[in-house]
Order: sequence, then structure tokens, then C-alpha cells
Amino acid sequence: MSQIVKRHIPHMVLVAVAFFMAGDTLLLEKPYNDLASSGTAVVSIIGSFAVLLSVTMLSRLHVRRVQRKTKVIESSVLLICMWVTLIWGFFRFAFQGVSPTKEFAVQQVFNAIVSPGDSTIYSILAFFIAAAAYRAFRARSVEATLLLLAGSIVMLGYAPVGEMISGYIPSLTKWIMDVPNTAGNRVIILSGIIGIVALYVRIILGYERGWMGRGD
Amino acid sequence: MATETKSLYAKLQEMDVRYVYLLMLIVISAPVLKPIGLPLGTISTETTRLYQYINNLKSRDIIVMEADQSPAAAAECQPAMVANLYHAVSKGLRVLFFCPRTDAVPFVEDAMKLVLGASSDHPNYGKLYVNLGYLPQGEIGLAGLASNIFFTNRDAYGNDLRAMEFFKDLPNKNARDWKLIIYYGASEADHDVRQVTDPYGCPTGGGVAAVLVTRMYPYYPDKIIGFQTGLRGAAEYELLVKRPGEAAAGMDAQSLGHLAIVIMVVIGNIGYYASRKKPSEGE
Amino acid sequence: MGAIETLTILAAAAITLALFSYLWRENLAYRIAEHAYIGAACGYGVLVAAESAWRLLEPRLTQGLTYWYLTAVIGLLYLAFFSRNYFWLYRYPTAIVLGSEIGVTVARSLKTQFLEQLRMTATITFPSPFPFPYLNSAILAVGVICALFYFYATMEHRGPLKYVSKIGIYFLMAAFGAAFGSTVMARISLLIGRLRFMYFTDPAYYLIPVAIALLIVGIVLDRRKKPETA
Repeated sequence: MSQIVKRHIPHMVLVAVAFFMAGDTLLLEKPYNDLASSGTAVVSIIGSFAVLLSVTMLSRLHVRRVQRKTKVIESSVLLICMWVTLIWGFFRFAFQGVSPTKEFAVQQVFNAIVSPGDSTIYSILAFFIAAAAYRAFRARSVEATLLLLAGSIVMLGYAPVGEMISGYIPSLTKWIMDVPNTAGNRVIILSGIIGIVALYVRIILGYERGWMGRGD
Repeated sequence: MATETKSLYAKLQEMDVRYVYLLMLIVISAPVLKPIGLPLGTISTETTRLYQYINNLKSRDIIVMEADQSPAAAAECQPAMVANLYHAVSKGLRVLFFCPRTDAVPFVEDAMKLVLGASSDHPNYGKLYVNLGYLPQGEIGLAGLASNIFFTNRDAYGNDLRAMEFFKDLPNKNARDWKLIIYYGASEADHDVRQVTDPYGCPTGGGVAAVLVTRMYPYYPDKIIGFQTGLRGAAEYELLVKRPGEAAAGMDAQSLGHLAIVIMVVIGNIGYYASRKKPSEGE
Repeated sequence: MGAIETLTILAAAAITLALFSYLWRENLAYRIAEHAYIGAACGYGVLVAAESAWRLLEPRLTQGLTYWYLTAVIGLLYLAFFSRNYFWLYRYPTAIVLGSEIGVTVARSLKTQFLEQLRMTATITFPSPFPFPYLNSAILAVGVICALFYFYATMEHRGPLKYVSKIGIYFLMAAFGAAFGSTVMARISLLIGRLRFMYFTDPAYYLIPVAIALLIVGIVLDRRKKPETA
């Protein structure tokens, strides 16, 4: 009994929902499509609750760090930034009806911390790429030489300076993107979709149970 | 014992990597602070096709702008979105915004305020422009929106969609009424092709971050009719709509940055092969 | 500009410089900025997600469809992830979301990313130089077939298949090179965006000399800490 409730029924729910939503993509029957639209709304609402997991996991991890007195300052900063934003935002939304995207303090948190943080973390990669280009990218084989050549031509082709160096560089860049790049990415897409469909079939047939997580 | 003197190439190979960081900072900062004024050059076919497609649309045709840019991708995608919005406004098109990610929502607000001067309080909001805000569950949300334009029931500001003039004369109330969906972001545009272009016939365009651009070509030009490649594409579109902005201003630094990386690759390889020890005779 | 906007810009500049300080070496300022970003991003994301879920739910509840409360109950079952005895309840919302994802994507993926890709390989013509109008399309088709053979593991790559596979890897390397070039372009664009913010936004640029001074102090202290090498 317990295995039925714990494993088999969730699996049956997954299969039923999968077929129901797949049917919506294949059939054109208004009552069915309307029901599927409501189903999509159900899934969107349920899926939104997954963010609770991120809040809970971060809180548990960093509260434990503070309790154990390891990285106290960093963990405290994280917890304060997260919970102050959440509490103030929820209060303003739940009791005063102000949307978080319009709430002044929440938007200042976004502009002061989230936006510059996200941008800077990725822009640091420009320096790392430069260092890697200088120290690690070596044309040791035909394949590596081809990779470096294609990369260099594309880099120069996308910058205005490339056309100033030679009028052939933009044409060569376009040819590389249109032909070998398209061929390579098309193969990646074709192979990828076969793998994804195989995985989905395995999930539906019950062979793939990783999504069920730990435990019995 | 004689000490081995290292060649210049060997010393360059072992140089502290922070000098490379400093060099990159100088190479990119210099043209930002003092622009050189390099001409942009030939505008790419991909950007031109997108521009011409939008240019050929009729007044009140609907285009959908899918803002999927994180703050990181916004440096490339936001100028493209602003330029496209200028174009759409000048053509009198109806624009529907939505965001599959939470941190893209402020960028739609910023674009509307920059181009239109206001967002929800603009006089044409609800008639020509609607912002649906964050649409949860990514592709599932997009599939829901494409099959039923009233999927969210309310816009980002809580207004009832059915009461808006924007949606009054739509024959199908789904993606068949859309003329174009433009993806802005760095994740994937495949889901737009899957959920909107193939089932409903609405072509996809792009104002994508450069990391994604190689993945656009397998669908180009049949499904993805045109796209702007990163900052360069945004600069090209700005020139086409005759509103040079952030993107055009960054192209000098882009040029020198790319040139620096290519030169570093070349010097690194020359140094590597020059500093490899030759076997000495008798050994 | 108001005091709060000024403070916001100064905070953004401080976060930017603290994160850039990682290029010198990992330090407390970098870790604080990183953790502040993670916490704020998580909090902001949750708020926007909650608001959008409410926007989907509220119209149906006001119509009297009270059974829609079930969606919230099922969504809360995600928290069972942290329970030892009731972990299995977490599988229900996961099954619904994953099943929906499978249903929505699988049929359409097979058409768009398999059949249509094969069709486009066979039919789309790219402009080719005179006098070979279909040269580029032919090269593309050859490249796709050869690259597919590279991934074909059922037979050993011997004889002619070895050369087919070799041509395939060359096409893949060109594609990866193009991806590398595009990635470089993207990262440099981001850096340009950050630098433009720092150099041209008032009062962000006032923090630049402060950062340079702190860096010089850091370098001097680092040099003093390092033991003299013989």
C-alpha cells in the first residue's frame, strides 16, 4: 500500500499529465484545449511554489554556518538581504497590494545588488577568457588549430575592426556561421533531441526514477 | 653549475596572469573613455532581415517581445529591445511584453519608460502596449499563452485583459494573431520555434546575447527570420532606426577587446612553440 | 537625484568593485558582495514568482472556484523535501510539473528539432559564390551527415568511415570555434556595460579612486606578508 502511494501513484500522475498535455499539442478540440489551458495554469501555480525550496535550503545552510561560527559575516549578509527583501516585499504586497515590481524599496534592492551583482560576475569572465586565450589555447592539433582559427575569424568578423583589417573577414565570418557552425549545431540539436525523447520515454515507462529523489 | 637563462618567450609564458587582466582593463577602458569612432561597417543580413520584416508590418499588427534577459545579458539585449521598441512604436504596432524570468521584469519597465515615457500610465497602454509581466514555468507558460492569449487573465499591474482594447479585435485569441515573437536573452530561442512558430505560424526573431547566436543558425532563415547578434546586432539596429545609443557607443571597445584576445592567442602560441626546449645534442 | 537613488548607485558601484576585486585575489569584500547578491536575488525572485502565481489564482478564486486552493496545497507539498518521513509527498508536485514539461515539449520537439531540422538540411539554400549556387547547401548537408557519423558508436570507425568521422569532427570544431568567438564577444560586451556604468554614472565614478587606493594598500600589505625568496 505504502509503495503504491509513495511511488506508483506519483508515477501514474506524471504519465497522465504528460499524455494530457501532449494531447493538447496534437488535438484541436475546443473543450479539450480549454481544459488544457486551465491545466497549464494549474502547473504554473504549482511550479511557482518550487521557489520555496531555494529559500528554505539557503536559510538552513547559512543559519547552520552562523551557528557553527564559520563564515559568519558572509552568511549573515546573505540571510539579511534575503529575508529583509522577502518580509518587506510580502508585507507590501499582501497588506497594501503593491506589486514587488512597483515597490520602491524592492526595486532599489534589485538596482543596487541584484543587477550589478549578476552583470559583474559574468563580466569577470572576460578577463578569464583573455588569460585562457594567452596561456591555455594552443594549436597542438589540426582540430585545435581549426577551433582557434574559426574563433579568431568570428571574433574579428563581429567587431568593426575586422572589416577594416580585411574586407574578406566579414564574408568569411558569415560563411563560418552559415555553414560549418549551422552543421555542427544542427547535429547537436538532432542528437540532443533524440537523447531527451529517450529520457522522457524512460521516465514515462518507469525505468528512470531519479526524479523521485531519495528514499523508498 | 650554470644557471639557465630563460628566453623572453618563456618569461612571457610564466608571467603573472594579473598583468593580462590589467592589459584587458586598459584596452577596453581606453576606447570607452575616449571613443575612437571606428565605422560600424556592413550591417549583417540577419539584422537587416529582422528590420525589413518589422518595417513591412502594418499598423496595429501584434509583435510579442519575450524579455528573458538576466541583468548579465541585459548589456547586449536591452539596447536591442529598446531599438526594436522604437521601431515598433514608429510603425504603430501593438506590442505585447512578457518575461519568462523574474529578473527580466524591470528591464521591460525600463524599456517602456525610455521609449514611451511611461509604462502602465501611458495613454496607449492597454490599447497598443500591454505588459504581462512574469510568466511562470518558462516553456509551459509560453505554451499556455500561445494557445490562449488570456492565459494570465491579468497584466503585470493587475488589470483585466478582457477589458483592454488591445485584445478586442483578435480573431483567434492565440498566437495565430501574432505577426512576430522576438526573443531577448541568453538561454534558448528553441522554445519559441517549438511552441509558437511551428504550431501557429508566427515567425521568431531575436535580440540575443552573443553566447546564444550559434544556436540560432540551425533555425535561420526558415523559422527564425532574423536576429540581432549581441551588442553588434543591437548597434546595427540602432543605426537602421537612426537612434544610436548604448550599443553603438560600445563598439570601439568591442573592437579593441576582440583584437587584444586574437593577438594574445597568437602571441601565446608563438611563445609556446618558441619556448619549447630543443633536445640538446649528445643526449 | 534623490538621496536614496544616490545611495543605490553607490551601493551598485561598491558591489561591482568588490566583485572585481576577485581578479586580484579572493577576499572578504568579494565574498560579502557575492553573498549579498545571492540573498537579494533569491528574495527578489521569490517575490515576483509569488505575485505571478497570485495573479493566476486570484481571478479564479474571486469567481467562486474555491477548488483552485488545491493548487496552493499541492504546491506547498514541495516543502516535504525536507522531511525524512514524508519526503514522498514532494513527488506529487514534481510529477505534475515534470509530466507537463514532457507533454508540452516532446511532440513539438520531435517536429521542430528533428523532422524540420532534417528538412531544412535538405532544402534551405544559402547564397553561394558564382558559379555554384548550391555549394554552401551541399557543404552543409555533407557536414551534418559527417558530424552525425562522428557520434555513431555502433560500428568501429575504420576504413572510409574513419575519414567521414574525421570530416565530421572538423565541422564540429569549426562550430565550437564559432561558439568560442561568440562567447568572447558576449563577455566583453558585459565588461563594456559594467565599465560604462562605473565611468559615466554619477556618483559611481567617485568610488574608483577609493578602489585604486585600497588596491595599492592591498598590494603593499601582500608584498610585506610574502617571505623574501632566497
